[in-house]
Amino acid sequence: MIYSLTVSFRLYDLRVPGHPFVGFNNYLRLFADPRFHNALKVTILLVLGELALQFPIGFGLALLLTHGFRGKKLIQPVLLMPMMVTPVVVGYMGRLLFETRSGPINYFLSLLGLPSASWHTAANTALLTVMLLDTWQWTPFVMGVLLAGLVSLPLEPYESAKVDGASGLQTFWYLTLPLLKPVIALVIIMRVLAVLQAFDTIYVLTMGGPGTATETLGIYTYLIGFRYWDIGQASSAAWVLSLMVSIGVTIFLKMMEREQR
Amino acid sequence: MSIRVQKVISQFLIYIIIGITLIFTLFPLYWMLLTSFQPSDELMQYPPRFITTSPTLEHWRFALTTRWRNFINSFIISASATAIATVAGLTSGYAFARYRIGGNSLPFWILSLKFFPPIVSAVPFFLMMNQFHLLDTHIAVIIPHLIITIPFAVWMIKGFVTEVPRELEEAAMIDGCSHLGVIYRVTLPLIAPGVVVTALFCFVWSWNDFLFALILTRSHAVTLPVAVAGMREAHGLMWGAVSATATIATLPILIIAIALQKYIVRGLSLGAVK
Repeated sequence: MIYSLTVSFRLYDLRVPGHPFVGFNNYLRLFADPRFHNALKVTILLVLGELALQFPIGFGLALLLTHGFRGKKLIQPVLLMPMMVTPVVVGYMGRLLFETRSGPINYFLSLLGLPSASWHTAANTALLTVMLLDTWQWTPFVMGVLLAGLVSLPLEPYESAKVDGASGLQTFWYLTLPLLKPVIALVIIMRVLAVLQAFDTIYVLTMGGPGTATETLGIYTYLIGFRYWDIGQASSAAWVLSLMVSIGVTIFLKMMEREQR
Repeated sequence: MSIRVQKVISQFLIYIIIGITLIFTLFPLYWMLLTSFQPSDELMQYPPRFITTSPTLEHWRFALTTRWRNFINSFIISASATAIATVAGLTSGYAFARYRIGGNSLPFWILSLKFFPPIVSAVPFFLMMNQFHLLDTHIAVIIPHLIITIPFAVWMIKGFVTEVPRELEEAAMIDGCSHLGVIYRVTLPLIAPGVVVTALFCFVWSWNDFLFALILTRSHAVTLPVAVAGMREAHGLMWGAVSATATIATLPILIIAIALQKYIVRGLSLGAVK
Protein backbone atom coordinates (compact mmCIF):
# COMPACT_ATOMS: atom_id res chain seq x y z
CA MET A 1 0.00 0.00 0.00
CA ILE A 2 2.59 2.51 1.15
CA TYR A 3 4.68 1.33 -1.71
CA SER A 4 2.15 2.06 -4.44
CA LEU A 5 1.24 5.32 -2.73
CA THR A 6 4.80 6.56 -2.86
CA VAL A 7 5.17 5.49 -6.45
CA SER A 8 2.10 7.39 -7.52
CA PHE A 9 3.22 10.26 -5.38
CA ARG A 10 6.47 10.61 -7.17
CA LEU A 11 4.92 10.54 -10.61
CA TYR A 12 2.34 13.05 -9.56
CA ASP A 13 4.83 15.28 -7.89
CA LEU A 14 7.39 15.35 -10.60
CA ARG A 15 5.01 16.07 -13.42
CA VAL A 16 4.22 19.38 -11.71
CA PRO A 17 7.51 20.81 -10.55
CA GLY A 18 7.27 23.83 -8.35
CA HIS A 19 4.13 25.43 -7.01
CA PRO A 20 3.01 27.77 -9.78
CA PHE A 21 2.55 25.91 -13.03
CA VAL A 22 5.32 27.00 -15.38
CA GLY A 23 4.90 24.53 -18.22
CA PHE A 24 8.17 23.59 -19.87
CA ASN A 25 9.94 26.61 -18.44
CA ASN A 26 12.16 24.48 -16.17
CA TYR A 27 13.23 22.37 -19.09
CA LEU A 28 13.93 25.37 -21.27
CA ARG A 29 16.09 26.90 -18.55
CA LEU A 30 17.82 23.57 -18.09
CA PHE A 31 18.73 23.17 -21.73
CA ALA A 32 20.02 26.74 -21.82
CA ASP A 33 22.31 26.16 -18.83
CA PRO A 34 25.95 25.67 -19.89
CA ARG A 35 26.59 23.77 -16.64
CA PHE A 36 24.01 21.21 -17.71
CA HIS A 37 25.79 20.75 -21.04
CA ASN A 38 29.01 20.28 -19.11
CA ALA A 39 27.34 17.73 -16.81
CA LEU A 40 26.13 15.76 -19.85
CA LYS A 41 29.61 15.80 -21.32
CA VAL A 42 31.27 14.74 -18.05
CA THR A 43 28.78 11.91 -17.56
CA ILE A 44 29.29 10.54 -21.07
CA LEU A 45 33.08 10.81 -20.75
CA LEU A 46 32.91 8.97 -17.44
CA VAL A 47 30.80 6.18 -18.93
CA LEU A 48 33.17 5.71 -21.88
CA GLY A 49 36.32 5.98 -19.76
CA GLU A 50 35.15 3.50 -17.17
CA LEU A 51 34.09 0.97 -19.80
CA ALA A 52 37.43 1.35 -21.57
CA LEU A 53 39.25 0.58 -18.31
CA GLN A 54 37.00 -1.96 -16.62
CA PHE A 55 35.96 -4.12 -19.53
CA PRO A 56 39.41 -5.15 -20.87
CA ILE A 57 40.89 -5.61 -17.38
CA GLY A 58 37.82 -7.46 -16.11
CA PHE A 59 37.71 -9.69 -19.20
CA GLY A 60 41.40 -10.44 -18.97
CA LEU A 61 41.16 -11.41 -15.33
CA ALA A 62 38.05 -13.51 -15.97
CA LEU A 63 39.88 -15.45 -18.69
CA LEU A 64 42.81 -15.90 -16.35
CA LEU A 65 40.58 -17.24 -13.59
CA THR A 66 39.19 -19.95 -15.87
CA HIS A 67 42.61 -21.58 -15.49
CA GLY A 68 43.11 -23.57 -12.35
CA PHE A 69 45.86 -22.65 -9.92
CA ARG A 70 46.58 -23.30 -6.28
CA GLY A 71 44.83 -21.04 -3.79
CA LYS A 72 42.16 -19.99 -6.30
CA LYS A 73 39.30 -20.78 -3.90
CA LEU A 74 40.82 -18.42 -1.37
CA ILE A 75 41.86 -15.65 -3.74
CA GLN A 76 38.72 -15.36 -5.85
CA PRO A 77 36.44 -14.05 -3.05
CA VAL A 78 39.11 -11.53 -2.04
CA LEU A 79 39.23 -10.21 -5.60
CA LEU A 80 35.44 -9.74 -5.55
CA MET A 81 35.45 -7.77 -2.30
CA PRO A 82 35.79 -4.16 -3.55
CA MET A 83 32.34 -4.04 -5.14
CA MET A 84 30.68 -4.44 -1.75
CA VAL A 85 32.55 -1.58 -0.07
CA THR A 86 30.47 1.52 0.70
CA PRO A 87 30.99 3.96 -2.22
CA VAL A 88 31.38 6.85 0.20
CA VAL A 89 34.26 5.01 1.84
CA VAL A 90 35.79 4.40 -1.59
CA GLY A 91 35.67 8.15 -2.25
CA TYR A 92 37.35 8.78 1.06
CA MET A 93 40.03 6.16 0.34
CA GLY A 94 40.64 8.03 -2.90
CA ARG A 95 41.32 11.22 -0.98
CA LEU A 96 43.75 9.31 1.19
CA LEU A 97 45.58 7.47 -1.58
CA PHE A 98 45.78 10.27 -4.12
CA GLU A 99 46.76 12.87 -1.52
CA THR A 100 49.04 15.25 -3.39
CA ARG A 101 51.82 15.89 -0.88
CA SER A 102 52.21 12.69 1.10
CA GLY A 103 49.80 10.19 -0.47
CA PRO A 104 51.24 6.76 -1.27
CA ILE A 105 50.40 6.91 -4.98
CA ASN A 106 52.47 10.01 -5.64
CA TYR A 107 55.21 8.40 -3.55
CA PHE A 108 55.20 5.30 -5.76
CA LEU A 109 55.30 7.53 -8.84
CA SER A 110 58.36 9.31 -7.48
CA LEU A 111 60.02 5.95 -6.77
CA LEU A 112 59.53 5.10 -10.43
CA GLY A 113 61.05 8.46 -11.32
CA LEU A 114 57.75 9.86 -12.58
CA PRO A 115 56.53 13.36 -11.76
CA SER A 116 53.81 13.50 -9.11
CA ALA A 117 50.32 14.53 -10.16
CA SER A 118 47.65 16.58 -8.43
CA TRP A 119 44.98 13.95 -9.21
CA HIS A 120 41.56 14.97 -7.91
CA THR A 121 42.65 18.51 -7.05
CA ALA A 122 43.50 19.49 -10.63
CA ALA A 123 40.82 20.04 -13.25
CA ASN A 124 42.51 18.00 -15.97
CA THR A 125 43.14 14.86 -13.89
CA ALA A 126 40.12 14.88 -11.54
CA LEU A 127 37.85 12.87 -13.83
CA LEU A 128 40.63 10.35 -14.42
CA THR A 129 40.98 9.92 -10.66
CA VAL A 130 37.27 9.19 -10.39
CA MET A 131 37.59 6.63 -13.20
CA LEU A 132 40.53 4.91 -11.49
CA LEU A 133 38.68 4.69 -8.17
CA ASP A 134 35.56 3.29 -9.81
CA THR A 135 37.76 0.88 -11.71
CA TRP A 136 39.12 -0.39 -8.40
CA GLN A 137 35.61 -0.92 -7.13
CA TRP A 138 33.79 -2.22 -10.21
CA THR A 139 36.30 -4.19 -12.30
CA PRO A 140 35.67 -7.15 -9.95
CA PHE A 141 32.01 -7.00 -10.92
CA VAL A 142 32.81 -7.11 -14.64
CA MET A 143 35.26 -9.91 -13.93
CA GLY A 144 32.78 -11.89 -11.81
CA VAL A 145 29.92 -11.70 -14.31
CA LEU A 146 32.12 -12.59 -17.29
CA LEU A 147 33.73 -15.42 -15.34
CA ALA A 148 30.32 -16.85 -14.49
CA GLY A 149 29.47 -16.59 -18.18
CA LEU A 150 32.70 -18.27 -19.27
CA VAL A 151 32.30 -21.15 -16.83
CA SER A 152 28.79 -21.91 -18.06
CA LEU A 153 29.74 -22.06 -21.75
CA PRO A 154 29.05 -25.41 -23.44
CA LEU A 155 32.10 -27.65 -23.91
CA GLU A 156 31.26 -29.43 -27.21
CA PRO A 157 32.08 -26.54 -29.59
CA TYR A 158 35.51 -26.26 -28.00
CA GLU A 159 36.20 -29.95 -28.47
CA SER A 160 35.28 -29.83 -32.14
CA ALA A 161 37.37 -26.67 -32.59
CA LYS A 162 40.33 -28.53 -31.14
CA VAL A 163 39.75 -31.42 -33.52
CA ASP A 164 39.62 -28.99 -36.43
CA GLY A 165 42.96 -27.60 -35.30
CA ALA A 166 41.89 -24.06 -34.44
CA SER A 167 44.46 -21.88 -32.68
CA GLY A 168 43.82 -20.38 -29.25
CA LEU A 169 43.22 -16.94 -30.68
CA GLN A 170 40.86 -18.30 -33.34
CA THR A 171 38.85 -20.19 -30.74
CA PHE A 172 38.57 -17.06 -28.65
CA TRP A 173 37.55 -14.84 -31.55
CA TYR A 174 35.13 -17.18 -33.36
CA LEU A 175 33.79 -19.16 -30.42
CA THR A 176 34.15 -17.53 -27.01
CA LEU A 177 33.19 -14.00 -28.06
CA PRO A 178 30.01 -14.92 -29.99
CA LEU A 179 28.92 -17.41 -27.32
CA LEU A 180 29.54 -14.89 -24.58
CA LYS A 181 27.81 -12.03 -26.38
CA PRO A 182 24.67 -11.97 -24.19
CA VAL A 183 26.74 -11.85 -20.99
CA ILE A 184 29.03 -9.16 -22.42
CA ALA A 185 26.04 -7.04 -23.41
CA LEU A 186 24.53 -7.55 -19.96
CA VAL A 187 27.60 -6.47 -18.05
CA ILE A 188 28.18 -3.45 -20.28
CA ILE A 189 24.62 -2.21 -19.94
CA MET A 190 24.68 -2.68 -16.16
CA ARG A 191 27.86 -0.66 -15.88
CA VAL A 192 26.48 2.07 -18.15
CA LEU A 193 23.34 2.30 -16.03
CA ALA A 194 25.35 2.59 -12.83
CA VAL A 195 27.85 5.14 -14.13
CA LEU A 196 25.09 7.35 -15.55
CA GLN A 197 23.93 7.80 -11.96
CA ALA A 198 27.42 8.26 -10.46
CA PHE A 199 27.18 10.28 -7.28
CA ASP A 200 28.50 8.95 -3.94
CA THR A 201 32.19 8.54 -4.71
CA ILE A 202 32.41 11.84 -6.56
CA TYR A 203 30.55 13.69 -3.81
CA VAL A 204 33.18 12.68 -1.27
CA LEU A 205 36.18 12.93 -3.57
CA THR A 206 35.60 16.26 -5.31
CA MET A 207 31.99 17.41 -4.90
CA GLY A 208 31.93 17.88 -8.67
CA GLY A 209 35.04 20.04 -8.62
CA PRO A 210 37.51 21.46 -9.17
CA GLY A 211 35.22 23.92 -10.92
CA THR A 212 32.83 21.62 -12.75
CA ALA A 213 35.45 19.09 -13.90
CA THR A 214 33.73 16.09 -12.29
CA GLU A 215 30.17 17.43 -12.16
CA THR A 216 28.10 14.51 -13.45
CA LEU A 217 24.35 14.70 -13.99
CA GLY A 218 23.78 13.23 -10.53
CA ILE A 219 25.99 15.80 -8.80
CA TYR A 220 24.54 18.62 -10.93
CA THR A 221 20.99 17.66 -9.99
CA TYR A 222 21.89 17.45 -6.32
CA LEU A 223 23.62 20.83 -6.27
CA ILE A 224 20.81 22.56 -8.16
CA GLY A 225 18.12 21.03 -5.96
CA PHE A 226 19.66 20.86 -2.51
CA ARG A 227 22.31 23.58 -2.55
CA TYR A 228 20.53 26.24 -4.61
CA TRP A 229 17.05 24.93 -3.69
CA ASP A 230 15.78 25.19 -7.24
CA ILE A 231 13.71 22.03 -6.86
CA GLY A 232 11.85 22.66 -10.12
CA GLN A 233 14.91 22.71 -12.30
CA ALA A 234 16.48 19.84 -10.33
CA SER A 235 13.39 17.74 -11.08
CA SER A 236 13.63 18.43 -14.78
CA ALA A 237 17.35 17.54 -14.72
CA ALA A 238 16.48 14.36 -12.86
CA TRP A 239 13.90 13.49 -15.49
CA VAL A 240 16.37 13.96 -18.31
CA LEU A 241 18.69 11.58 -16.47
CA SER A 242 15.91 9.07 -15.89
CA LEU A 243 15.00 9.20 -19.58
CA MET A 244 18.58 8.21 -20.43
CA VAL A 245 18.53 5.50 -17.79
CA SER A 246 15.16 4.12 -18.85
CA ILE A 247 16.41 3.55 -22.39
CA GLY A 248 19.17 1.42 -20.89
CA VAL A 249 16.77 -0.32 -18.51
CA THR A 250 14.42 -1.23 -21.36
CA ILE A 251 17.26 -2.88 -23.24
CA PHE A 252 18.36 -4.65 -20.07
CA LEU A 253 14.89 -5.98 -19.28
CA LYS A 254 14.37 -7.15 -22.86
CA MET A 255 17.58 -9.11 -22.53
CA MET A 256 16.53 -10.62 -19.20
CA GLU A 257 13.18 -11.60 -20.69
CA ARG A 258 14.86 -13.34 -23.61
CA GLU A 259 17.22 -15.08 -21.23
CA GLN A 260 14.31 -16.47 -19.20
CA ARG A 261 12.58 -18.07 -22.15
CA MET B 1 59.57 -31.14 -22.85
CA SER B 2 58.84 -27.76 -24.39
CA ILE B 3 55.13 -28.14 -23.58
CA ARG B 4 56.08 -28.71 -19.97
CA VAL B 5 58.24 -25.59 -19.93
CA GLN B 6 55.46 -23.63 -21.55
CA LYS B 7 53.07 -24.81 -18.87
CA VAL B 8 55.40 -23.81 -16.07
CA ILE B 9 55.88 -20.38 -17.62
CA SER B 10 52.16 -19.81 -18.05
CA GLN B 11 51.50 -20.88 -14.45
CA PHE B 12 54.20 -18.49 -13.34
CA LEU B 13 52.63 -15.65 -15.33
CA ILE B 14 49.23 -16.37 -13.86
CA TYR B 15 50.66 -16.13 -10.38
CA ILE B 16 52.35 -12.82 -11.14
CA ILE B 17 49.22 -11.23 -12.62
CA ILE B 18 47.01 -12.52 -9.81
CA GLY B 19 49.56 -11.30 -7.28
CA ILE B 20 49.58 -7.80 -8.74
CA THR B 21 45.78 -7.76 -8.83
CA LEU B 22 45.65 -8.86 -5.20
CA ILE B 23 47.98 -6.04 -4.18
CA PHE B 24 45.86 -3.52 -6.09
CA THR B 25 42.72 -4.88 -4.48
CA LEU B 26 43.93 -4.97 -0.92
CA PHE B 27 46.28 -2.00 -0.71
CA PRO B 28 43.58 0.74 -0.44
CA LEU B 29 41.83 -1.18 2.34
CA TYR B 30 45.12 -1.79 4.14
CA TRP B 31 46.06 1.86 3.81
CA MET B 32 42.79 2.98 5.38
CA LEU B 33 43.20 0.51 8.24
CA LEU B 34 46.79 1.62 8.75
CA THR B 35 45.82 5.31 8.82
CA SER B 36 43.24 4.60 11.51
CA PHE B 37 45.96 3.21 13.80
CA GLN B 38 48.70 5.75 13.11
CA PRO B 39 49.43 8.52 15.60
CA SER B 40 48.47 11.91 14.19
CA ASP B 41 52.02 13.22 13.84
CA GLU B 42 52.98 10.19 11.75
CA LEU B 43 50.24 10.92 9.21
CA MET B 44 50.99 13.31 6.39
CA GLN B 45 54.68 12.53 6.64
CA TYR B 46 56.81 12.27 3.56
CA PRO B 47 57.84 9.69 2.56
CA PRO B 48 54.70 7.94 3.81
CA ARG B 49 55.15 5.08 6.25
CA PHE B 50 53.86 1.68 5.24
CA ILE B 51 53.76 0.19 8.70
CA THR B 52 53.44 1.88 12.03
CA THR B 53 55.75 1.19 14.95
CA SER B 54 53.57 2.88 17.55
CA PRO B 55 49.93 2.01 16.85
CA THR B 56 47.38 4.08 18.71
CA LEU B 57 43.73 3.52 19.55
CA GLU B 58 43.13 7.26 19.87
CA HIS B 59 41.24 7.57 16.55
CA TRP B 60 39.19 4.47 17.22
CA ARG B 61 38.22 5.74 20.65
CA PHE B 62 37.19 9.05 19.12
CA ALA B 63 35.27 7.40 16.28
CA LEU B 64 33.47 4.95 18.54
CA THR B 65 32.38 7.59 21.05
CA THR B 66 31.29 10.26 18.56
CA ARG B 67 29.98 8.01 15.79
CA TRP B 68 28.25 5.33 17.85
CA ARG B 69 24.85 6.91 17.24
CA ASN B 70 25.39 6.94 13.47
CA PHE B 71 26.26 3.27 13.64
CA ILE B 72 23.02 2.55 15.51
CA ASN B 73 21.06 4.69 13.02
CA SER B 74 22.55 2.82 10.08
CA PHE B 75 21.78 -0.46 11.76
CA ILE B 76 18.14 0.40 12.57
CA ILE B 77 17.49 1.68 9.05
CA SER B 78 19.20 -1.22 7.27
CA ALA B 79 17.64 -3.88 9.49
CA SER B 80 14.12 -2.46 9.04
CA ALA B 81 14.47 -2.05 5.29
CA THR B 82 15.80 -5.60 5.10
CA ALA B 83 13.10 -7.19 7.28
CA ILE B 84 10.20 -5.56 5.45
CA ALA B 85 11.69 -6.27 2.03
CA THR B 86 12.33 -9.92 2.89
CA VAL B 87 8.74 -10.52 4.03
CA ALA B 88 7.37 -8.73 0.96
CA GLY B 89 9.85 -10.58 -1.22
CA LEU B 90 8.88 -13.96 0.20
CA THR B 91 5.15 -13.51 -0.31
CA SER B 92 5.15 -11.84 -3.72
CA GLY B 93 8.23 -13.66 -4.93
CA TYR B 94 6.54 -16.99 -4.27
CA ALA B 95 3.34 -15.83 -5.91
CA PHE B 96 5.15 -14.60 -9.02
CA ALA B 97 7.11 -17.82 -9.31
CA ARG B 98 4.13 -20.19 -8.99
CA TYR B 99 1.24 -18.30 -10.55
CA ARG B 100 1.00 -16.12 -13.61
CA ILE B 101 0.14 -12.88 -11.92
CA GLY B 102 -0.03 -9.85 -14.17
CA GLY B 103 1.20 -11.87 -17.11
CA ASN B 104 4.84 -11.78 -18.05
CA SER B 105 5.35 -8.07 -17.72
CA LEU B 106 4.37 -7.28 -14.11
CA PRO B 107 7.47 -8.87 -12.53
CA PHE B 108 9.61 -6.95 -15.01
CA TRP B 109 7.79 -3.75 -14.22
CA ILE B 110 8.52 -4.28 -10.54
CA LEU B 111 12.15 -4.99 -11.31
CA SER B 112 12.39 -1.81 -13.35
CA LEU B 113 11.55 0.18 -10.21
CA LYS B 114 14.89 -0.83 -8.81
CA PHE B 115 16.59 0.92 -11.68
CA PHE B 116 14.85 4.18 -11.13
CA PRO B 117 17.68 6.64 -10.47
CA PRO B 118 17.55 7.49 -6.75
CA ILE B 119 18.21 11.13 -7.55
CA VAL B 120 14.88 11.24 -9.41
CA SER B 121 12.83 9.95 -6.49
CA ALA B 122 14.95 11.84 -3.93
CA VAL B 123 13.35 15.17 -4.83
CA PRO B 124 9.70 14.10 -4.32
CA PHE B 125 10.62 12.04 -1.26
CA PHE B 126 12.19 15.12 0.23
CA LEU B 127 9.08 17.21 -0.46
CA MET B 128 6.82 14.47 0.88
CA MET B 129 8.77 13.89 4.09
CA ASN B 130 8.95 17.61 4.59
CA GLN B 131 5.18 17.83 4.30
CA PHE B 132 4.64 15.02 6.82
CA HIS B 133 7.29 16.45 9.19
CA LEU B 134 9.20 13.18 8.95
CA LEU B 135 12.54 14.66 7.86
CA ASP B 136 15.45 13.47 10.00
CA THR B 137 13.63 10.37 11.28
CA HIS B 138 14.48 6.75 10.61
CA ILE B 139 11.18 6.22 8.78
CA ALA B 140 12.04 8.96 6.28
CA VAL B 141 15.05 6.93 5.14
CA ILE B 142 13.51 3.46 5.46
CA ILE B 143 10.62 4.19 3.07
CA PRO B 144 12.75 5.23 0.07
CA HIS B 145 15.07 2.30 0.75
CA LEU B 146 12.08 -0.03 0.38
CA ILE B 147 11.58 1.28 -3.15
CA ILE B 148 14.89 -0.37 -3.98
CA THR B 149 15.03 -3.36 -1.64
CA ILE B 150 11.48 -4.71 -2.19
CA PRO B 151 11.75 -5.05 -6.00
CA PHE B 152 15.17 -6.62 -5.53
CA ALA B 153 13.91 -9.10 -2.90
CA VAL B 154 10.81 -10.02 -4.95
CA TRP B 155 12.91 -10.63 -8.02
CA MET B 156 15.63 -12.66 -6.30
CA ILE B 157 13.25 -14.84 -4.31
CA LYS B 158 11.14 -15.43 -7.42
CA GLY B 159 14.30 -16.79 -9.01
CA PHE B 160 15.06 -19.07 -6.06
CA VAL B 161 11.50 -20.43 -5.86
CA THR B 162 11.54 -21.18 -9.60
CA GLU B 163 14.52 -23.44 -8.98
CA VAL B 164 12.49 -25.63 -6.61
CA PRO B 165 10.81 -28.28 -8.78
CA ARG B 166 7.05 -27.94 -8.75
CA GLU B 167 6.74 -31.76 -8.56
CA LEU B 168 8.17 -31.67 -5.05
CA GLU B 169 5.33 -29.46 -3.85
CA GLU B 170 2.77 -31.59 -5.67
CA ALA B 171 4.12 -34.76 -4.10
CA ALA B 172 3.78 -33.27 -0.62
CA MET B 173 0.27 -32.14 -1.48
CA ILE B 174 -0.70 -35.69 -2.46
CA ASP B 175 0.65 -36.87 0.88
CA GLY B 176 -2.03 -34.71 2.48
CA CYS B 177 -0.22 -31.48 3.16
CA SER B 178 -2.18 -28.22 2.88
CA HIS B 179 -0.89 -25.60 0.47
CA LEU B 180 0.43 -23.36 3.25
CA GLY B 181 1.89 -26.44 4.89
CA VAL B 182 3.75 -27.25 1.68
CA ILE B 183 5.21 -23.77 1.50
CA TYR B 184 6.22 -23.91 5.14
CA ARG B 185 7.57 -27.48 5.27
CA VAL B 186 8.91 -28.05 1.74
CA THR B 187 9.59 -24.86 -0.18
CA LEU B 188 10.77 -22.59 2.60
CA PRO B 189 13.55 -24.87 3.88
CA LEU B 190 14.73 -25.36 0.30
CA ILE B 191 14.93 -21.66 -0.52
CA ALA B 192 16.18 -20.66 2.96
CA PRO B 193 19.79 -20.06 1.81
CA GLY B 194 18.47 -17.94 -1.06
CA VAL B 195 16.32 -15.90 1.30
CA VAL B 196 19.31 -15.28 3.59
CA VAL B 197 21.41 -14.21 0.60
CA THR B 198 18.65 -11.87 -0.56
CA ALA B 199 18.27 -10.35 2.91
CA LEU B 200 22.01 -9.79 3.22
CA PHE B 201 22.07 -8.01 -0.15
CA CYS B 202 19.19 -5.77 0.93
CA PHE B 203 21.12 -5.00 4.10
CA VAL B 204 24.27 -4.11 2.20
CA TRP B 205 22.38 -1.90 -0.23
CA SER B 206 20.63 -0.03 2.56
CA TRP B 207 23.83 0.25 4.58
CA ASN B 208 25.79 1.63 1.62
CA ASP B 209 23.12 4.08 0.47
CA PHE B 210 24.27 7.66 0.60
CA LEU B 211 21.95 9.86 -1.45
CA PHE B 212 18.66 9.23 0.37
CA ALA B 213 20.27 9.40 3.80
CA LEU B 214 22.10 12.58 2.84
CA ILE B 215 18.99 14.39 1.70
CA LEU B 216 16.49 13.09 4.25
CA THR B 217 18.51 13.45 7.47
CA ARG B 218 19.99 16.44 9.26
CA SER B 219 21.43 15.46 12.64
CA HIS B 220 19.34 12.99 14.61
CA ALA B 221 19.03 10.13 12.09
CA VAL B 222 22.32 10.58 10.20
CA THR B 223 23.75 7.27 8.96
CA LEU B 224 27.40 6.20 8.88
CA PRO B 225 28.14 6.97 5.20
CA VAL B 226 26.69 10.46 5.60
CA ALA B 227 28.73 10.88 8.79
CA VAL B 228 31.91 9.84 6.98
CA ALA B 229 31.21 12.31 4.17
CA GLY B 230 30.37 15.07 6.64
CA MET B 231 33.47 14.63 8.82
CA ARG B 232 35.62 15.79 5.97
CA GLU B 233 34.04 19.20 5.98
CA ALA B 234 33.64 19.65 9.71
CA HIS B 235 37.07 18.54 10.88
CA GLY B 236 39.38 19.39 8.00
CA LEU B 237 42.24 16.94 7.98
CA MET B 238 41.42 14.47 10.75
CA TRP B 239 42.54 11.56 8.60
CA GLY B 240 42.91 9.16 11.49
CA ALA B 241 39.42 9.69 12.87
CA VAL B 242 37.79 9.55 9.44
CA SER B 243 39.71 6.38 8.61
CA ALA B 244 38.56 4.73 11.83
CA THR B 245 34.94 5.68 11.11
CA ALA B 246 35.21 4.54 7.50
CA THR B 247 36.67 1.24 8.67
CA ILE B 248 33.77 0.80 11.11
CA ALA B 249 31.39 1.46 8.21
CA THR B 250 33.19 -1.10 6.04
CA LEU B 251 33.69 -3.95 8.50
CA PRO B 252 30.09 -5.29 8.61
CA ILE B 253 29.98 -5.16 4.81
CA LEU B 254 33.22 -7.09 4.41
CA ILE B 255 32.01 -9.74 6.85
CA ILE B 256 28.81 -10.08 4.81
CA ALA B 257 30.86 -10.17 1.60
CA ILE B 258 32.83 -13.12 2.93
CA ALA B 259 29.60 -14.87 3.95
CA LEU B 260 28.09 -14.27 0.50
CA GLN B 261 31.15 -15.35 -1.54
CA LYS B 262 29.49 -17.60 -4.10
CA TYR B 263 26.44 -15.39 -4.44
CA ILE B 264 28.01 -11.94 -4.86
CA VAL B 265 27.87 -12.01 -8.64
CA ARG B 266 24.36 -13.44 -8.74
CA GLY B 267 23.06 -10.79 -6.34
CA LEU B 268 24.69 -7.81 -8.00
CA SER B 269 23.61 -8.90 -11.47
CA LEU B 270 20.03 -9.32 -10.19
CA GLY B 271 20.04 -13.04 -10.78
CA ALA B 272 20.90 -12.60 -14.45
CA VAL B 273 24.08 -14.60 -13.93
CA LYS B 274 24.12 -17.62 -11.64
